[in-house]
Parts: sequence; structure tokens; C-alpha cells
Amino acid sequence: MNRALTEVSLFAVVVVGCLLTIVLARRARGEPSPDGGYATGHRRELSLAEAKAAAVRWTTTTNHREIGLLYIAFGTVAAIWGGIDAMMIRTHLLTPEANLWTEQTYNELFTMHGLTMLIFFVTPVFFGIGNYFLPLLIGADDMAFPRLNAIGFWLLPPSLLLARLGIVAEVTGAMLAVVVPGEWLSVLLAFQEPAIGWTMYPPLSLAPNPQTNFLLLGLHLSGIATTIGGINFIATVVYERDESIGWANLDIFSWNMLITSAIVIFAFPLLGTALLMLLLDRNFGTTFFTVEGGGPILWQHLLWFWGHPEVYIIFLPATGLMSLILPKFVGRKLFGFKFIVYSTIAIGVLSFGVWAHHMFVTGVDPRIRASFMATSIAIAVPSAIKVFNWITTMWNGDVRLAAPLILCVGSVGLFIVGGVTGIFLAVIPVDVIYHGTYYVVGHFHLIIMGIIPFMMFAASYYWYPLITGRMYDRRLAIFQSSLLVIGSGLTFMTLMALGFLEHPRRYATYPAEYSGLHVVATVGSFIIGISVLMWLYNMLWSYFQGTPVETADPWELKATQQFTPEWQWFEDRLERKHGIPPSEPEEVRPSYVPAQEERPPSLYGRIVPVARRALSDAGAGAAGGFVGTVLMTGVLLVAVALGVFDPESFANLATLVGLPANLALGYSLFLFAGMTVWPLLFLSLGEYLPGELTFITGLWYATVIASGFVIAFYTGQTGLELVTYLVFALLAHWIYGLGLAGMITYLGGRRPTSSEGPR
Amino acid sequence: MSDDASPSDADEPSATDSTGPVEPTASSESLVLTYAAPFLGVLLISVGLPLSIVGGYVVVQDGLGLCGEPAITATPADEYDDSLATIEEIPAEQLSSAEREALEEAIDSPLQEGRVSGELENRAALLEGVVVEYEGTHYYVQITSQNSCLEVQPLLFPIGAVAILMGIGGVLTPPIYRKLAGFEERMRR
Ligand code: HEM
Ligand SMILES: [Cu+2]
Repeated sequence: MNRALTEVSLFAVVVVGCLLTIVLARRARGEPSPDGGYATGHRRELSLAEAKAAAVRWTTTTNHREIGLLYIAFGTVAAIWGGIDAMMIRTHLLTPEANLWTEQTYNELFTMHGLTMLIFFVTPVFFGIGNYFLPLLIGADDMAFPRLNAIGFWLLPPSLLLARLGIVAEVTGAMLAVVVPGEWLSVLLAFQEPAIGWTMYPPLSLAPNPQTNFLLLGLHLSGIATTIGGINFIATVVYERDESIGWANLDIFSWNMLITSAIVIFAFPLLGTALLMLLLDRNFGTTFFTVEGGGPILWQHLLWFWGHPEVYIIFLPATGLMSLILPKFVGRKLFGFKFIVYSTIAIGVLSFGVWAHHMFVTGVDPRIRASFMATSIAIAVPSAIKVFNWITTMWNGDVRLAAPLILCVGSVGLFIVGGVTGIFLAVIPVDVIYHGTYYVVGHFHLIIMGIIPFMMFAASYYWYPLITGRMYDRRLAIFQSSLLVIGSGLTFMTLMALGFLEHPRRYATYPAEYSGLHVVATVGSFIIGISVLMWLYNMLWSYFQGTPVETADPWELKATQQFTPEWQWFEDRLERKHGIPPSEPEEVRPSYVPAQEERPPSLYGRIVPVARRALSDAGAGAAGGFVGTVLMTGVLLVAVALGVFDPESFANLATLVGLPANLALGYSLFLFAGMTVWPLLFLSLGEYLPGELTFITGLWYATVIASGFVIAFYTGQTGLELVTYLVFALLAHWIYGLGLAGMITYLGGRRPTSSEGPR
Repeated sequence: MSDDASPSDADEPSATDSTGPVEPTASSESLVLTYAAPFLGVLLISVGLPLSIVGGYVVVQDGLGLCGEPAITATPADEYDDSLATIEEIPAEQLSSAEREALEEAIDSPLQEGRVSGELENRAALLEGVVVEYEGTHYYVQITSQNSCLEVQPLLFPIGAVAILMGIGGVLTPPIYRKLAGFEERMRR
């Protein structure tokens, strides 16, 4: 398969899905509501002038909240792109051979997956959250340098495009090739995403793919953007705090952003320099990283001197969010605030002293290596302090079920596993064995997936009412976050298991005995993917359709004295906007309340309806049976087309009643039974089947009778065909059951559970 | 998948009241239908996706010519110093025409890669890696991707597709259930 086209089409599908959701949600807003009134809210058509004004506004804004949203939107786009890479990696690994995509493609995929996720997804989203909330939390009017802030953001889109120009060029080339002669396009087609690993180790990164140059330039540009952002955060926290906020009561998230930014301004310039040196090596014949010159190991030192701090650059804001959000949902103050701050500072300092643990197998002097082992184990201590403080915060708390809480608890769980495996990796003899295996992939994904995106999701839910003035769909959110926890656990624990079996990483092919575990990991990763799509849907749909919040305190923070400054800001804003606090409804009712039936008054009044009903029931049953059977036939026809269901068995049906074996006769008999025997049985048996609603009862009924069908019509299928046969039999019956029950309900037939039935 | 789920927000209870959040799931709702059924649905979709991808791929791979065209790389031998001394050398004439075309393509390409579309006579040797002299230059030529054909049962495709459809049904159970319940309610009145 062509990788670039696949990727771009998948991306397009997601984007179109999002747009569709928005359009539908906007349309639904203006529709009449069931009580005959119209939903309030003005229905506006988006005119060209307005679109233009919006475009100008969003591209020129220097407001920290708007820039924050831009950052978040950009990061989301990158995350989807990198996520599609991840799904393609996992799909590739479904089979032991490289036969869905080539080895080259596989290498491109994991290279760009890693880079996109680390550089273009995680950092921008955290900077976005920081931009939006940090000034609100510290009572500042805006960031210290609003224009610089805007520049910092606007460097990112071009840098992403540069870094991933390979795909853009390939797809453009492939599409132009339809109308333009191929030779003209050789320039475009020469670009191909680098397949050198995200660490860009020479000599691979010195190979002559022109796209590698653009990748390096893009990374360099994004590094500049990140540094600008970091400087801005530091200046904001230091100079723009409200008078009431000193260092002692600076909130934990701002502390984390401050320390993160400090790491940024020490780490990123170094990456930039190293990237420039690599570019010089590639294009101007310098020899920093070639064997004749400085040697490939030099690159590894420089890269990891940035790389390990980078790990904490993306990890610390996540812990900040955890420390901020978790207490709100357990009704207790963060335990050991001071120690969390100290541990953050300690991590910031130590993170520069551990880089060589990524290079244990490159032959560093053993004594130096041992000292790196010591610092690497030492850095676990401040991380553990954080975990203990989180657990203590939860301890005895008044835990309230909500999506952010699920994510926080899930995060702590996954982080403990990821962290403990990390300590093992810091031990040289263990690392020597596991360094090149999936153990490492499992370890770092448990951390970077388990806490970073989790906390972003948690923040998105927690602050959703503040940003949009509406509530997201909370049922869906609870479901989505549980799904994310389950999916991540399944995927990355499986990768750990593969690592324990010493399955080497970064190979496009593998021995067949690992394929079972790879399938499990792939299923897990698709679960993650689906839950991410659900989150996207929830965010977009609720923006238009969510219930408006009626209080500035949707999380009952006042009750536990955690009504932090950003919510106070929100309360002020609501007051200013609406003048008066919004009123509340007297009472609320759930979306569905079972109706209370009245009993017929007299004996006569009972007999006549029963008789009448019996008749109408039979009619409704027959009609329902007809609809159901016809629908069922459709499903069975598909099964016939697939060759898993033998129509012969239908013909044999006729012989049961002494008719010749003929397909038409058999089918008529089938239809007849579907209209008489089975509906009547349903009407009389339905009472004993579970389900409050006729529909549910119908499904249960269908499931029961499907077993009989399966035995009666079995014609010796085996293996996959048998599975398919079973699935189709079940499906056909469910459809029958739904059709039957639906028709009966529609025609006003009696509910199987009549008035005496248990409620 | 996401589009047709339309929560009927008109009779949805408010998410918050003056005291704070209202429980997301009302006690009258079944947990099975709100959470368990969609979970099963997601599981089905996640299993169905890989199944239908590999199943569908075997169906299309021949039609689209996606398999059986190995890729080779050609690296100028002087990049290897003397380490190629022990590698077998074969004359360019011994290459099949498809192999020669691929070699030319690889030499021209900035990525040093070419696809062999046709007879691969020297498969065994190329898998090992050989030195070929071509127009005066020595190249180290090797197969980098066999592009072997995928072999699984095509029946996986419909199974996967059905699993996905059933899964979508499962995911949409909560809103569908609420719709159906409303429908039944109206019918009964
Ligand atoms: C849906 C979630 C994800 C899945 C299924 C996934 C899957 C994978 C797999 C299978 C690999 C290994 C490729 C190989 O070496 O053979 C990989 C590598 C990598 N992933 Fe992810 N990933 C996910 C999310 C993330 C996130 C959120 C990040 C960063 C924030 C990330 C960063 C990386 C990096 C840096 C590598 C390169 C590892 C190396 O050094 O080989 N991934 N991913
Ligand atoms: Cu490290």
C-alpha cells in the first residue's frame, strides 16, 4: 500500500468527521425542541465577511487565551497525525512478515511517529494549556510578551510542515502525476520521510535523502519556538504575578511550568546547535559526526543531553496538572505541596545529569557509566515523592466519580509500572539485555502515554465548562476515559511482555511466535484510537450542544475551599455577561421515565380488551414477523454470498412437512413460520424474558431462538466459516427480533410484560 | 461513527445545579446499557479493524500489484572501503532485464532504491548482497524489501466488517436505547 496516500486519506477522514460533527451540531441547535418551542441561541449563517474577520482575528491575536487555544488545536492536529502513524505501525506489525508495507515504510513510520508526538504534539499542547491558564492562575492580565507569544506559536505550523514535507511532497507528486508527466515530478518524488529513527543517529542520518535536511530545519525552527515560549513563561511568572501571589502560594501548575521553562532554555539551544552541526555535516562537508571527525558517538552525547531533559520537559507539566486536578476530585488539599515543589526542582536539576543512561551499550568508560547509573536511580526519588503525595492526597478523600478522576487514578497506576520498569533500566546489566527490546518501548510508553495525554484529557474535561460555558457529555466522558485506561494498559503492558521475551524493537519483521502478542497490542492500540475519536466528538459536539453551566462552580470547589483564581475569573465573567446569576430549574427529570399504567377498572372492562387484544396481537405479531423475516433474509443472503450458509438447507425445510425439496417452497415455509409460530411464541414467552422494553425482550428472544437455528441449519462448516456462520445467524436473528418487536410496538401490540408484570 | 449519536438534550437533566455537578448516570439507567454494551462494541471494532484490514488487503493486493516486487538498494562500493573484498561479484550481463532496470533506477534515485518489476533471477545472490560493476562503477547491491504477498483467509474481511458494524451498534447503544425507549413510550400513549 502507498503509505503517504493511506496516511493522508486517514487524516482527511478524521478531519471530515470533525467538520460533519460541527455542522450537524450547529444544525441541531436551531431545530425545534420536543416541547414545541425553539432552542434559544441564534442561528447564523456564516457569511464570507464573517469568515474573513474570524480568520484575521485568529491569525493576528495576541490574547493569551486565544493563543493558548491555537496551540492546543495545533497540538491536536499533530497528535492525530502522529496517532495515525502509530496505528499504521501497529497494523504493520499484525503479521510477522513485512507484507502490508515495506521495511522502508515501517522505518519511516516509527521515525516520524516519535518525532511528531514528542516535538509537535506534547510540547505545544502543554504550552497551550500554560498560555490559557497560567496568567489566570497568577492573576496576570496577559503573558509578559504577548507579541512574542504569538510569534512563538506561528513558528510551529511551518516547522511541522517542514518536518513532514516528505508526505506532503509525495502526495502532491502522486496527485500531480495524474495530469503531469512523471519526469517533471522527480523532485517532488525524491522527498521521502526519513527512516532514520527519531534519535537521528549518524551515519544513518547522513544518508542522502533530501527530506532529512528539511526535517532538521523544521526541528530547529520548532526548537526556537519552544525557547521563545519558555522565556515568556519565566518572565510572566516572575514579573506578572498579582500582588497577593508570592512564591509560597504560587499554585503547583505554575511552579511546574516555571521549572519546565527553565529546563527548556538550557536544553533546546543545545539541540539547535547539534541540529545545525548535523546539517553542516550533511551539506557542507564538515565532519562533526563522521568517523573521520568527531564520530557518531558525539551526536549521541549531544542529542541525549537535550533528550533526557526533554523527557522531563514534557513530563513535568503533566505532573503539574495532576497535582492541580486530583485534589479537586477527592475534596482534599494537595498533600505535601512544598515537597512536590522541591521534587520538581530536583528533577529539573538532575535531568541534565543522567543523559548517558541512554548510551550504556556504547562503551562509555565503566566508572563513568556507574556514576550515570547512580544519578539515574537517584532521579527516581523525586518522582516517587510525587507519587506518594498523590496517593496520600487521595487517601481518605471524598472521591467523586468523574472523567478527570478516572484519568488521574489511571495515570498514577500506569506511571508506577512505568517508573518501576525505568529503575530497572537504569541498572546497567539489565539495560544491556533490554535496551534493544520492546521492554524499552513499553516502559516509556507507560510513562509518556500513561501520564501525558491522560493529563491533557483530564485538563480538557476539568476546564471544559470554563472555556466553553457548557458541560461535556459526562457519561461519554466517563466511558471514554475508562476506555483509554484499559486500552493503554492492554497495549503497553503487552509491549512489556514482548520485551520480557526479548523481542527486539525497531524491526519490521519478527519471528512468527510473537504474533499473538502483537495482535493483542494492536487491538489495544485501536481501543486507544477509538477513545481518542470519542473525546474529539465529545469536545466538538458539546461545544454546540452541551448543557450550559448554571454556576461558576461546576465541581463544587467552594465546598472544599479549592475555588482557585481561574474559576473566580470565570465567575466574574459570568456575572458581567449575564448581569444576574442564571436561574435554576425547579426540578429536573431524567431523559426516560417508565410510564405508570392504570389498571382497567372492572371485570368486563378487562375481558373485552383482552379478547380484542388477542386478535390485534396476532395481527401485529404476523406483521412484525413478516418485517423481521424479510430483514433476516437480507442478512442470510449476505451469508450465502460469502459461502458460509448453504441455501440447500432451506430447501430441505420443505421436506419436513412432506413437500418436495424446493427452495421456493422451503422459503415460503420459513416465512410462514416466521409470521406465525415464532411471533406467537414471543408474545406468550416474552413475559419470562428479561428487559423492560419490548425491544430488549425481542433481542433476548432472538438470541435464544438463534441457537436452535444454528443447529438446524448447520451444514458442516468449519474454522473461519463456522465462526462467520455463527455470527451471521446471530445477527440475522437480532435483526428479526428488532423488526418483530418494533413492528409489534408500532402497531400497539401488547407488551409481553403486561400490567401485572414486574416493574 | 460519531455523527449520528444525538443526545436528546431537551429532556436531558442539567449537568450542574447551584450546588455542583449532577451525577452523570441517573439511577434509573442501566449500567449495562450505558457502559458495558458500548465497551463490548469498542472491543468488537478494535478486533474488527485489524481483521478487515488484513482480510481486505489480501483481496486487493493482486489487483493493485502490491506484492511481489522486491526493492533493491545500490550503494557505490567505495563507501565501504575494503570490506567488500569477500563479497561475491557478478557481472552486469548476468542480471535479468528487470533487475538491470531496478539497478539503474536505484543509481539515479537519491534514496539509492529501485523496484524489481519482473523476473528476479538472482534472488538468492541478491538476498545475500553482491557487488555489481555497472558502467565502470562498482555497486554493492542488495534486496532491502522482499515485499512478500500477504497470505491470510480472505474471509477475515467480511468477519471484520461485521464485527465493526456490530461494534458500532454497541457503541451507539446508549443513545439508541434512549430513542427506542422514547418511541415505545409514545406508542403506548
Ligand atoms: C496510541 C498510542 C501509541 C501507540 C500505539 C504507539 C506505538 C508505538 C510503537 C509500536 C513504537 C515502536 C516502533 C518500533 O520501534 O518498532 C513507538 C515508538 C515511539 N513512540 Fe509511540 N505510540 C503511541 C503513543 C505515543 C505517544 C503519546 C508518544 C509521545 C508523547 C510516543 C512516542 C514514541 C517515541 C518517541 C517512539 C520511538 C521509540 C524508539 O526509540 O524506538 N508514542 N510507538
Ligand atoms: Cu533518559
